[in-house]
Amino acid sequence: MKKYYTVVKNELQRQLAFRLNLLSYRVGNLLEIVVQIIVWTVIFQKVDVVQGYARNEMISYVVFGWLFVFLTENYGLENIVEHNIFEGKVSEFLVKPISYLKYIFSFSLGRMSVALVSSIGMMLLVILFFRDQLIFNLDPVRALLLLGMVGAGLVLKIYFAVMIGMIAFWTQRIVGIDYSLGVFIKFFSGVYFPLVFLPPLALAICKALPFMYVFYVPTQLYLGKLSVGQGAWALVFELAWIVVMYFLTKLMWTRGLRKYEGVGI
Amino acid sequence: MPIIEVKNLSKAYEYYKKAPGLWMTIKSIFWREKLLAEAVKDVSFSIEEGEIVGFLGPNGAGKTTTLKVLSGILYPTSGAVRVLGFDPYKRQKEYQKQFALVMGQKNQLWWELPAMESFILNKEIYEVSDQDFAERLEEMTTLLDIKNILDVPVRKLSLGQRMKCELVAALLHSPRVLFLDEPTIGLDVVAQKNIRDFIKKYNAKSKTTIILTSHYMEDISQLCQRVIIINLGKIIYDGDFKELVNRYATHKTLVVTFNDRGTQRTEVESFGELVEYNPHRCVIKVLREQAKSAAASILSSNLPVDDILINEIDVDDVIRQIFNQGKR
Repeated sequence: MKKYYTVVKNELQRQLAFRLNLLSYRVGNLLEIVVQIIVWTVIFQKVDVVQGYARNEMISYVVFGWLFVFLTENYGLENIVEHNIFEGKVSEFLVKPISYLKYIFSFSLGRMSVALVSSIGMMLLVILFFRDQLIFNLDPVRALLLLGMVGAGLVLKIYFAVMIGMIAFWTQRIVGIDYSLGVFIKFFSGVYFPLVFLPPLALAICKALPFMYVFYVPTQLYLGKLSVGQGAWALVFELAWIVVMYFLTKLMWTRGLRKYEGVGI
Repeated sequence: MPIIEVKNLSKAYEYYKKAPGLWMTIKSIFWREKLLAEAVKDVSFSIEEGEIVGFLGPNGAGKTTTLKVLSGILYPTSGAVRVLGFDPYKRQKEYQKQFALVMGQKNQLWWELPAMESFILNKEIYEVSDQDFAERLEEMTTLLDIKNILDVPVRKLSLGQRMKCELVAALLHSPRVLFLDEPTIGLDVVAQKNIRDFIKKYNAKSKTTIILTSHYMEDISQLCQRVIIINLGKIIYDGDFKELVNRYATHKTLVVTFNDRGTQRTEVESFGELVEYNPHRCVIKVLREQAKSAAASILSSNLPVDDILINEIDVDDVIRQIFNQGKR
């Protein structure tokens, strides 16, 4: 396992040398959050409750949801996987006693960690700024569950990214697919609006997909719209999804390699 | 017992045919003709432990493909390959720990970090002990004279320095088999020689079996006793390098320089084929076995000879000749 730890360490060092790379995400992120807050502020000038959400609940949904996004973000890991594939770097992992999937996982941990610190810093400022409009209530049990969801969400999102990146085995480049799938995932995880706004059928689809565990579910738990029991079950489902994603990723990797070998990059 | 055995290896790639132009590109979205390109066809050879074998052939001949099959990156379409008793394609850890692949056109070092960090990562990947690591690193960095650049980010190194570091990274686990794919590509003559000398010394000491591909004849003639020439996916020669040169270099060249008076074209034409002519210097191509007698008769003629040299034909010319034969 020491090799994977060294990968984390190397990548962390690399990120420290190129701090601005991922830091530059911050400006865009901040704008996205502010846009959402503006929209909801305008809406709540006319009404008091939208689909069961009061104004402070909605603002909390946005702010704490984004905090959750940042804690689990991997900053376009799929593009790294894509490049590794079409540039033939994957070959390196076929000749050495190291697993690519474990490598990319470790790599991502090292890569996200520097940006993580900056994003937490930024979110603290956002929270401080909107503190009058936010709900702060967190009992220890919920906090623990949320922490579990942060860990699980992080892993789940790495799997999403790696799988999207591996599409490059078949298509070489993933720019368009990457964008569309990114929006799709954002939509179905509840980044744009609370998923209860959706018609029942669409909501049922969301519940069958793994995406809502990385935004919607944790914010619901935080806002008290999910009971502790429901939250615990959600975490169990999320962990089950991780197991499923693990096998799907492995399957995709073996299939992809067959393609890779055929083309002989 | 050979350490590398390749029997009737073939490897075909899939690719798609597409005529140029926008319209054809649009058409190819809906309908593409799938084709198979045979990169390697029915190749067989075996290599004994400790040998350095040169793999020669023009671009696209199938050298890299063969190395990729030997290192387990590619699955052979047909045929049997065994290296150190392993089937490379199974990618067993025990096999991976005993060989290394260096590609001159690719780098495994972390670009933004000092080479030392990549060395340490490889140490962990191959589970090399601290003591072995320290000893091997010391030995190789001394031989290559790169101790002072180990803590400079790799992207700041020259190509030659980087290649040296690539070699160290690949050899830290002391592989028994080493595949070197154009290790000197793009290097200046001094750097080329450094790398060559290192490989020579390293092989002499560690008895590592090496397959080397290169387009520089100097690499091959300095390092390899045996060469395998591959062209259009087929082996066209497998044997001693010197013999190859003797077999194909049927001629020698005489370089004759004349004194101030110079000479007439007609006076020298009779000695052999004139490759180059000016009144003070002629290059004459003659059959190998006649080289001595031709030189003697030039010297004993009444031409104002100042100096005469008997040269082997350039190895590059020999190889060019062989490659061209393969095309026909």
